Amino acid sequence: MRRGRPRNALARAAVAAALVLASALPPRAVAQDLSLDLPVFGHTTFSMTSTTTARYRGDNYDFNTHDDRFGSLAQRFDLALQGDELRLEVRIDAFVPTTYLADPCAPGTESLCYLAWDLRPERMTLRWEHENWLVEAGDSQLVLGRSIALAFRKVDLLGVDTALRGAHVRYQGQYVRARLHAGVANPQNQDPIDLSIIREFSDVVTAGTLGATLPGETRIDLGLHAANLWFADEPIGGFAQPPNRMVSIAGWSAEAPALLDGRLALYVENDALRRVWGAQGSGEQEFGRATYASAQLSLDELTVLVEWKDYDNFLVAGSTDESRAWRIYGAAPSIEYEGPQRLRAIGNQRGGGVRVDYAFLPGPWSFSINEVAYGLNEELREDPWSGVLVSHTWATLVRRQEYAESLIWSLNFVLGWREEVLLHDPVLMPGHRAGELDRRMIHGQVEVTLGSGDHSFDIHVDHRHETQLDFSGYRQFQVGGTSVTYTFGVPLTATVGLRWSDYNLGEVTQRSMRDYNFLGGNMYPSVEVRYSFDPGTSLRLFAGQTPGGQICSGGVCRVVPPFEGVLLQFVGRL
Amino acid sequence: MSKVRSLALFVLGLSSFAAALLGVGTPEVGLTGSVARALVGGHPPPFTLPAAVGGPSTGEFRLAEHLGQHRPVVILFWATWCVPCTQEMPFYQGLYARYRDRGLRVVAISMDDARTVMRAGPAARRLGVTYDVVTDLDTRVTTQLNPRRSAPFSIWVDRTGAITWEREGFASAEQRVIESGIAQLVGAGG
Repeated sequence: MRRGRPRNALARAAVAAALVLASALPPRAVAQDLSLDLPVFGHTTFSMTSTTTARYRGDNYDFNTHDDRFGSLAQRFDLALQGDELRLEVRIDAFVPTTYLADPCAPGTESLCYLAWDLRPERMTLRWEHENWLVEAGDSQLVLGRSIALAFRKVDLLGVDTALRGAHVRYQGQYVRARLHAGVANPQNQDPIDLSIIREFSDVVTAGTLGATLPGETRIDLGLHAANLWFADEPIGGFAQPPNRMVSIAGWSAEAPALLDGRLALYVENDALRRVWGAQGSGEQEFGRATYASAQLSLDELTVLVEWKDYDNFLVAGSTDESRAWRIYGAAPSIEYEGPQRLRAIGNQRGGGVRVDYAFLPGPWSFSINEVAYGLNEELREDPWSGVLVSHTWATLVRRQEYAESLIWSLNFVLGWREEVLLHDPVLMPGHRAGELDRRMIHGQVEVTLGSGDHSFDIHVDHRHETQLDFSGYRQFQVGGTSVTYTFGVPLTATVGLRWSDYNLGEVTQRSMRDYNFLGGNMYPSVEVRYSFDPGTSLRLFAGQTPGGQICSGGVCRVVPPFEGVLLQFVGRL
Repeated sequence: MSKVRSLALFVLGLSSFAAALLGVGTPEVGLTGSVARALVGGHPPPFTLPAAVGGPSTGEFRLAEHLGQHRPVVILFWATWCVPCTQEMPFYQGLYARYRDRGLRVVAISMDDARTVMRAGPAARRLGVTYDVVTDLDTRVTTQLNPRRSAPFSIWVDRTGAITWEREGFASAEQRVIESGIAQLVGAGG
């Protein structure tokens, strides 16, 4: 974006005024009874959630100058009509960046000018529910089994929110359950991390499940499921792997959630995958499989969870090296820590984990100890135990709040150690041998809450130290942060935060860091204030910086650029 | 400049529309006082969700069995990885124990994915929870009732089946307002 051009100044001022007005206008969100009688719907209530986000983003310190120093306004309406048996939902997304006012990008650099205005309806669903039947037309969420075969759900961390747009019919009786889905994959309109408009590929998906509960005192559920995905052509080449044409999955599951008077729960799922792939319709095929099993023993104070996974060349995506999180349509359980470690090769892993929970009931203290160990190979067609051996041990100590006390306090403490060791001599890194360290992460987290009356404080500290092998040898980096939050009753929450990170600084931020922040180096300060006008309506202001870096979830990682700027968000509900 | 004007007007129009809709009515909420009741309208869809394995309840939770039965219902959205949720759930356990005999029902909907869903039931028991804890693996109910998918997120439904409170987040500083509001919800004064 070119800066300082006089003819844009007035226009920017107009948009800025609109942003301010938009955020400042609604003083309260209190509505009367919004019910009405409609034909077909019957007695109907209307509800709405409005989210208005005004944002100014400064320099994100990558090579692209077209996505720096701009303002934007995003408006989202989640609207719903709820009748006796019918429900109609629609979400309306609108986004306008001030870069819209800039001159067009020079020929050949259009891809750098990815910020564009957008106004579209999204998540449109007409749903009818009557006794055991449910029929949906429009966007619906879908998970088969434990998300291994198919998962259309939101992954907040990565900004993924993909639905299946089409038709869905479900029958859920006492002993028999069945579902049929058909439609096209429909990712959300906008990537909330980089604010780009997501390109939709119209991958066609059909899926069905059939389940039965065996009659008897002990509940046992059996299920069959199948799905077929036809992938749309990729207009832009350049991927290492030829694109998939079609992926077919079939599997079964068995679950006994309450054996031994509810003390023992068992689950097992097995899936087979057939992939047809190749450029120009060459139509080669290959097969994969996935097995997941868990057993959970729950006694009064003790819980033991044992999990096993065996995923061999199992990835439900447009190609075997798909990197766009919203085009990966499966999310097999990783059994890993729900933290920031880099997960990889989710479709090619074999191993297990044990978790032991103990609660000193009825007291407030509890702890857990976790251990997972598995092999992975990033080359999907190789055996998982020929790549890297991962082991991760972590423990938690928790004290929950007891509200009978005048001074309320709670504690959440986590400490963990994670290692990845090479199981083979790496071809691309001569000089390193099997048995050597590939990655190590030592991580800790402490959260303390203190509260009395209308006042409470939340104190948070997290830190991790990582070592990883790359082409230049072993590299170490540290990522962490601390924050203090003060809350007064319902209305006011104020947070002061400081994060630090020296991860990948030279690669993620490719320009000079000389003027990056006033604290210098790797420190990222921020302030956040939220004021609630009533329980459903709030105004949030964030100002400061957040570090970039790699974030991972469900086996998919993204590199997120640093952020510096201001964010003003208004949320209101009817 | 015509596209600039049209864009600005478009943005302003959208936001004014939201403001006009949201601003109607007379405020009935006193956040720092003893009254904590917002008329936020709407009726929840009659969802059915399975109990979290290893949790305090078994079978399924059917909201339709409680709506229209003159039972106030509190719906909590939470996740095992959400620290404020672990403060909110024991707090509502205390209210549930106090007002269960007056018909109060509480259901906690876990937003955990396949990676952590097995931990939801034991986590709830560890928090001392005895009300219903269910899972929403495909996020269908979460999408309907909690479109911003916040955690924690709480909804109160009164005896007529209407939503009277929606709130993102939780801090122990809110306990007096919530206690007072729940007392009103169940008709115990406050």
